[in-house]
Amino acid sequence: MNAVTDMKTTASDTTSANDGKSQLTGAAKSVPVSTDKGSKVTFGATAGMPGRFKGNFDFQFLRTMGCTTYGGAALGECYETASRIEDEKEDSYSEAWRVTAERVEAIARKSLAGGHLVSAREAFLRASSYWREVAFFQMQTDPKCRSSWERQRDCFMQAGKLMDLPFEVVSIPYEDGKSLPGYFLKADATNKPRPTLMSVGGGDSLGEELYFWGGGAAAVRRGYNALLFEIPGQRGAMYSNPGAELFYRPDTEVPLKYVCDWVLARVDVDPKCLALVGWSMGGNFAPRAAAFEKRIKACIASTSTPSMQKTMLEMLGLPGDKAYPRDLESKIDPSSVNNRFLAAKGDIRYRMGVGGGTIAEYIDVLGKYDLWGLEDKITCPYFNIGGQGEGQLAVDGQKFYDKLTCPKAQHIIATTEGGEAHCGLNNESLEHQIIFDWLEDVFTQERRRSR
Amino acid sequence: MNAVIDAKANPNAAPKSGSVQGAVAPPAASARSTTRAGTTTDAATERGVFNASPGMPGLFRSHFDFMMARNFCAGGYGEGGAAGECFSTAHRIVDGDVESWTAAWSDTAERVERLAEDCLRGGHVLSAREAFLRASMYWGSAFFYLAPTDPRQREMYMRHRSCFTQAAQLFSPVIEPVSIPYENGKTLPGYFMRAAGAAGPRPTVMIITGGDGTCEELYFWGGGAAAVRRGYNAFLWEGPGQVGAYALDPELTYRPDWEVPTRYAVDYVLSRDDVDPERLALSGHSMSGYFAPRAAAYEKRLSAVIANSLIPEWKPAAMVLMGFDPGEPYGADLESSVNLSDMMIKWFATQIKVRMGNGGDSIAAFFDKCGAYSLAGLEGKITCPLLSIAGEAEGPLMLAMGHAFYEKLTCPKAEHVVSLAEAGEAHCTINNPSLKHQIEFDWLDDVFKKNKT
Repeated sequence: MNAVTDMKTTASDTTSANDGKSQLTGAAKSVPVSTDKGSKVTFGATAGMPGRFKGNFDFQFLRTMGCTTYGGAALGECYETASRIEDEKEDSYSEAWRVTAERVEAIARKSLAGGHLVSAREAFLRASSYWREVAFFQMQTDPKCRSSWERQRDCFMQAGKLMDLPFEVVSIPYEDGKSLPGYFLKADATNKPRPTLMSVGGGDSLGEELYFWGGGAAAVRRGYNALLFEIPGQRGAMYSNPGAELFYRPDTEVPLKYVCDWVLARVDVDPKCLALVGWSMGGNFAPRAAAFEKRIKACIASTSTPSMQKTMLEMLGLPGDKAYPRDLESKIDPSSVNNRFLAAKGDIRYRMGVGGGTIAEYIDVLGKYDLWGLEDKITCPYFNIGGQGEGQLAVDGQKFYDKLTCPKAQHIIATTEGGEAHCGLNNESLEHQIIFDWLEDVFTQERRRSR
Repeated sequence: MNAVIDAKANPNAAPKSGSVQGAVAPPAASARSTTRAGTTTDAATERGVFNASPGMPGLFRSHFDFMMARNFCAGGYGEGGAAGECFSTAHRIVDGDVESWTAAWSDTAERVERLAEDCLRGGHVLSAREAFLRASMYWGSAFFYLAPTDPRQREMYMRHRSCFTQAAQLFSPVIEPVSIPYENGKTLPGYFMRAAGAAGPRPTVMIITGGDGTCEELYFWGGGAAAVRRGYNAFLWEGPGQVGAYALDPELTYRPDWEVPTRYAVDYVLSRDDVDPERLALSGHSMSGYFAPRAAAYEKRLSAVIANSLIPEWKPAAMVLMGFDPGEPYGADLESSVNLSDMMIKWFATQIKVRMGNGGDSIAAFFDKCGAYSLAGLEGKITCPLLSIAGEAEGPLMLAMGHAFYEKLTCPKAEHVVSLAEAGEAHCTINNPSLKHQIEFDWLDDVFKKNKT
């Protein structure tokens, strides 16, 4: 264990935005990765990480064990599974989680059959998380991916039926008869209008897991409704529209128009208190939508991702601000699970609509996912939340934040706060405390104004 | 930390100039992976109870690893956990160095408590509650290895307690702090948690910890939160000699006749009209794997008892944990052979021995007194249903002792030894409270259903 003296910096040390930015740049440079198997950008190997694996598996392990915060995992089940995983081997990862998922789902079904509903609900929630991991590194087009995805969804829906508060599986009408899948969690059993958080993930997240780290459970505890949903290109949205080729699109205000239409048709949603949070690549989707969809009354980005192209290049260990060669296949080390997952293997590339194309063509497409130029079009209150473990991504997010002209606030979680990971995944409690405390203040002011 | 609209100040806790943030040197990761299962060096953890196993964090080789798993329970049961706070605290700790442990956890506890207070001031009640709960757990961890004679021990205990009582007020219904009337005008500490849902008499589980914990942390891994979710009341309490009871009143030392403190606790619980007297369980953890069955043998108002795990004889367990062979006869002078440089042996000598009222006695005299903590002969006296839970990583001695006693029981009974493959193999199922509570409450549901029909 090192970094003893370095860690003495306390969370109460604050500084001006400018100082914070320049120091964060320094911090980003100084955050090392365990080996070159990981990524310095977005998935940094910082002090608040498990250190159980060398590369991307460590982040993914954290993501799963972090779900304990809202009952979506158990510590021993995560570590025991990890003990059966060979680092950097996706097949071993998938198989290890499958064994755990099967076992915990069996507990859930046994408890359910015995009438032990809370035990059943809790085990279904954990099994859902574990099935998600089985499919995580698999290709969308792989039938095994689909069947594991279905089991994670089924376990989640079974848990949903057993929840104390109303839980609705929803299908939001979208273009050309297509639909977007989601879950609506009501703050209470009444039909009174409540503040509502719409939550959307990024390049690798599912609508179901947003219950845990995407603010779903945190919202209802605080008296908010939560709409957890997926947009085109996300795994569940694609599987829910078979044959429709529902790929990602940069103009996220279009799907968000449909989502807002749907949510605002509900009597239990307070239209003055409607927020959108975007996680990971959703830190690009949410600000973009908020720039055009004015029914969104508050926007949260974790973290603001102004340029997907730059960030992806940097996550792959390439310069983000230079022209890239067409032959990226030879520039990216395929022995790293990080690189296979992000680019070489091509799952996200496929869901971006360039499945048959080269990595360079995929990076070209990511160029359309760019927020620069929209700074003054975002007019609702805006919150930028990031973490020092995100490295350069958090720095870029702050640059974008600095240019915003709307009412705004930000919090870049320091390593010393123990919540520095991408999307706050190593401290969901802190991430949600920060977001919801801000949101409560915003909506309290809104209510005072409208009174 | 109250970020409001228009706040120009960056609430980011930026590093002081010159500091390097969050460095994880490459060797750390590989070093950790070599400390996996079966390579413990601590004498006490080698022999039993706290063994390293695949389902444990593996961040430390010493007993610190068990305590890490315990800290993950600060929210490991869906109540607002923070893995990053645990990992980053672990990074500031030198394995086996109690001072570094105390400093690291008190820094984290201090910070999270301040966060809770800020949230409360801002009116963010739920955020405040969750942070107070974590801060309470972290304070509990900070003082864990300190002797009761160390003034910091009581000071940190009081903060552990005050963070919990502050969180307790923010629940709906509130968690009620209770002073249980006890002998000679003294009181025992506890908390009553009312079941979620409709009013009326509810099944109730009385929960106690063992030799090293407080009633506050029973909210997490003891079953408090799990109970109320399931429509049970939970009564978290401590008997004499347990950490909180002793810190509040050092005259309260352990006693083998646990039915006596239990009688007072049951008197209190049954004085409430929201408790169903026909459905009253006692759940004991760790050293209370002795206390709970002992109480059940005499206190017939209990309608079910859980031992996690069964400890029919305290003396051999104490001897093993202090580094002696329980099969060997011992002389009067054990002082010359005890290894007090071992963290856990020292902990036992300065904690359990003292709180058993044997602080001034020799180790041999202490072992003699431990002999009174025995369930032998009580096998036929326990008549209510009993559930025995144990973990595979507790080691052969503990498992064999518990199982032998279980076999002799004549009451309705069930046994679940949580295996390595089930990933809840640690002492008190500390690495899988979800599984522990599923096993406990599914069993209790069935037992109490039979009581009703």
